[in-house]
Amino acid sequence: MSEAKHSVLFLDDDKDFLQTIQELYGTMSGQSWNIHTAPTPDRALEILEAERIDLVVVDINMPVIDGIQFLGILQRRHPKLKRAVLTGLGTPEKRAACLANGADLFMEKSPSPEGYKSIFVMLGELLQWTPKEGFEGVLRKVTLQDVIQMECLARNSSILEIYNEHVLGQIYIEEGQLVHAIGAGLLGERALQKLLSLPGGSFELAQFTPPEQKSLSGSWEMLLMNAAQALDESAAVTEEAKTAAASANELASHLEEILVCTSAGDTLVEGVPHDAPARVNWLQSMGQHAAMLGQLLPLGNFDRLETELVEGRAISLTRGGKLVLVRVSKGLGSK
Amino acid sequence: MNEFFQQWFDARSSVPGTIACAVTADGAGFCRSLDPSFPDEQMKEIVSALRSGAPFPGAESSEVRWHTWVFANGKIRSVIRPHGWTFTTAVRVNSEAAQILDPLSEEFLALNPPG
Repeated sequence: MSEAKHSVLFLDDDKDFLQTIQELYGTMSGQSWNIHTAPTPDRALEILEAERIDLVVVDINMPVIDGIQFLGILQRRHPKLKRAVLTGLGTPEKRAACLANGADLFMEKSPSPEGYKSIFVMLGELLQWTPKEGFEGVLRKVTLQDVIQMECLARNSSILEIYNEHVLGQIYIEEGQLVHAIGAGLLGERALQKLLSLPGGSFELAQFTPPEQKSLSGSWEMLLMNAAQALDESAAVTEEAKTAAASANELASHLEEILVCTSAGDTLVEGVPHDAPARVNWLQSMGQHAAMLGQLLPLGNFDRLETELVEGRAISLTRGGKLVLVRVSKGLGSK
Repeated sequence: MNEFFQQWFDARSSVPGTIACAVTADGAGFCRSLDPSFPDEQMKEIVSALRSGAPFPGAESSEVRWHTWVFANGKIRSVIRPHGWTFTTAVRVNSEAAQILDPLSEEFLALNPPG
């Protein structure tokens, strides 16, 4: 038996799978992998406390604590540990969530022996992988703008990979200039704006390879400024839309009746509980009286007739040859 | 009762910005113009015209508290008490009288005449 070089822990609630993988990968590695198995996250944490583990391979769909949550726990408690996901059902959303929670590798279980060989090779690569030169750590309260600015000022070439639970994107920086952005189904400035507007997530600076196309042009300062401006405008529009929707909801909840008719009495819009003809008659009478009052006392153009009721108020007016009656219940603002 | 409303009318009819005002019941009552170019008779015609208007639809007469005719340079308000007494006033826009229209109307509605 050769000496075990690597310790690998598999976490999966399928005990048969764990037994199979232990035998299979033990044999394939020539026993150079010391394979531990855990059917539950708490057992996995016990092993991690007791043993030196190089790589944890996690299933996603598990009861109580799923693999994504467990990756989050690992990221906090064992940040230097290599982490891979091996799941029966992988979706783009789960992939993004796993990467956001610190997974180094995301793979789907295979129904064939060849597939398990590929997985073994990929896990072996991950075990061999050593971090590149430089520092690794966690920076809190750093914006993507800060990172881009840093890369551009240093005239670096890199790919800024950004991901959270919902979005995966890349920003290409070539010799200190932003040349391409893609993500969230968008391209160019719209992708850049979308990625920079993310409230949170993770990023990684990957080695630069030329993009298939260049979707950004202009100075990086201007592109960042445009993105910031678009973000401000978007926030303002959202706020305006919220206010308008709230006003509309408030109006709708208090609207008792509305009627629009021509000066000849033909109804154009009718939302009244009953007796529309009486309301048409009221509006026509209002128009005639307004003209009469205007002659008796010249106070300028007639604007409207307000009627204060015990349970609400009504506005009757004439505009562009149309007569309008709106009645609202009490509680609606005077505007 | 006439004397009661007359006293209230005398105390409230000279607010700056008032053009003319009236307190009436069934067409009779008190009327005063504060604008020399607008005689009392014309105010009486306004009161009469307002009485002849169609009733507000979908509401009992007791449910209507007041009507306000809003023009570019002023307002005409008629406040209707349940038992027929009506306070009508014409005011200039942005005047003191325009500013106190609502409290004055509330006061008129809340009057509690003897007997």
